[in-house]
Amino acid sequence: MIGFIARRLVAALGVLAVVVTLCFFLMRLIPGGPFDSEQALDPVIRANLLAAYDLDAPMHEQFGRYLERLLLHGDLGPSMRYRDYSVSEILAESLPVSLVLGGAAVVIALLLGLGAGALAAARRGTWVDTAIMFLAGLGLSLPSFVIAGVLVLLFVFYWQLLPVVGFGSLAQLVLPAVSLALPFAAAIARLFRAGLLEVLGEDWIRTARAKGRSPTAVLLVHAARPASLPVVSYLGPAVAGVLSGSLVIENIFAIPGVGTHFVESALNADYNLALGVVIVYTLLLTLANLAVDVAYGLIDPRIEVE
Amino acid sequence: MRPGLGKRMAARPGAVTALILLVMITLAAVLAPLLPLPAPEAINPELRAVPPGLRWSTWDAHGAERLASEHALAAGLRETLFGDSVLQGLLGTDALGRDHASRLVWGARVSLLVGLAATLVAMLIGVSWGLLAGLVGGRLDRIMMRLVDVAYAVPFLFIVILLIALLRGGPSSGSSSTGTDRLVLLFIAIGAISWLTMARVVRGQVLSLRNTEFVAAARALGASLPRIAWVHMLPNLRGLIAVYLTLTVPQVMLFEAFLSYLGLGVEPPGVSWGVLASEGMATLTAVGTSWWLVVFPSLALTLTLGSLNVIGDALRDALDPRRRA
Repeated sequence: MIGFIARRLVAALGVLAVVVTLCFFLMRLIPGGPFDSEQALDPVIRANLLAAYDLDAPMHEQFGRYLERLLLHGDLGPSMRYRDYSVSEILAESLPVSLVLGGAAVVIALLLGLGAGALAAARRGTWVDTAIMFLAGLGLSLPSFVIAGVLVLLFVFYWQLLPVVGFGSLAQLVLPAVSLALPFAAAIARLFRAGLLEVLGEDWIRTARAKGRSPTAVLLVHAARPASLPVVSYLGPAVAGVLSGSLVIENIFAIPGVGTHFVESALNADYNLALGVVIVYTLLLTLANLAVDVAYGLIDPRIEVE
Repeated sequence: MRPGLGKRMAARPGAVTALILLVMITLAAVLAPLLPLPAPEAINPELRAVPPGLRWSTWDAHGAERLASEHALAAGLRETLFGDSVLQGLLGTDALGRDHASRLVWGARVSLLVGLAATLVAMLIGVSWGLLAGLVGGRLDRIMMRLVDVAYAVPFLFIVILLIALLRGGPSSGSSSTGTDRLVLLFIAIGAISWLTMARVVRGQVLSLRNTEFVAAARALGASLPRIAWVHMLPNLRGLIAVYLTLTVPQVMLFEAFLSYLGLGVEPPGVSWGVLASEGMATLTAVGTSWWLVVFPSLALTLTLGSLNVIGDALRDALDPRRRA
């Protein structure tokens, strides 16, 4: 197991190296730069700025120095837009915000999805099942910003129950986290229901029933574990989806998270900040996928982790 | 197989409804220049932010001119059908006085086109990749599939967003490229990151087809690999490809909406459902909400994506004997 994790981490470093290299050069090859504003800067000022941010050297030299700083000092460089802020400082402020939002969304998606999926499977073929599956189908076809829009209309403007924007209190977290979570809750509900229905046909379920266990116990104790495998393997893509979804959700609810910085930094050609965020996203995704694989092995002992 | 599939699909009322809906939406998009609606970008200062309603009126000259020059045939046909009367604010208007119904049907053209084109790009790459890896096998297969594994771990979505935003943000790119170029770029970018699953699925199917007797027979007769791929593999892959196409189109359309929402997709004055939903969201303020600007684009997106998902699921179930519930 430890060997497996170590190998995966090494592979992740390889992916990270590819991503950093790719982004570093592509960003600089695209016309336009952080100091190409609408009004042309005084050439001397511009030259000084380029020199100060190490943008006047040949690209491979810039890359060498970037790697050196990153690997030896863990330094992601200064932001080219927010003067006097380093990328690490900006990330230190915004990453916890995004992690809270994303974490809350994943938890909500799991609770809601597993609950709805189990209920649908237990009431298979009834109107409960049909209703849940219809809602899940709807949830899968709605962009998260549309869900957010409808929720804002209802809870903020018509019923005036929740605050609309900002971040800091629990009440402010509810709408963005739920909007972010619903599409994934829908997918999880469908997967869990399908998994449960498949497992419920197995011989050992019949045995459990024959022993006199209640239907609820059979569902939640005997069937749930193997049926959760498709859900677990979906969590990798789900984390990726939550990360990208947060770009839009943070924008709607004016949440000062990494997603907001990512889009802005890319639009402003703030190379260091954009690359820093991409590095953070890549690490998060890799860790999530690794956690999923490890969890998979723990849940299903038949799967040899190698 | 064919009639059986049709019957099995027809036995699902959900799938039939979805298909009808989809055909209607597509028709509305295709026939947009024919409909008695103002031009999507025509501004009517007298009808600002009005709610949906029936208001017959006559053509606003500006909009008519543009539509007539770009869609001459359709404009002529529309004139014979409806004369110069036009429905204004059928689904309400936005704050500038632009007709929402017109923007929806014109936006549908862009949204559907982006969805289709990007999916075709994804299909071309994915199917060729999977076919090649599965057919040739051996070391090439291992390398190609390893690459797919690695690509799965790369957050391409963020890289694409990064690149599109940089292209968009740079001042030098402001006037040099037209909206069409951007749209093409969008197709390619979205298609280029959506082919991985298709490649995996196709390869899996090719591997199992490779061991069938008719492929062995074709080999024994000396058929070349391209011939086996074209004549023996592709017809057997059609169903599978159809399933993944119908399931990829909604993903791509969601992504287009997502990009447009961030201001990175279709650029105003171009319209797509993503752009419209995004504009609608911007009107949600405490001062007053134009609910129709949020509800209709959302509805359009939901109905289209929902229909595609339902059809995709039904196709998958109909084609897979194991999954028939």
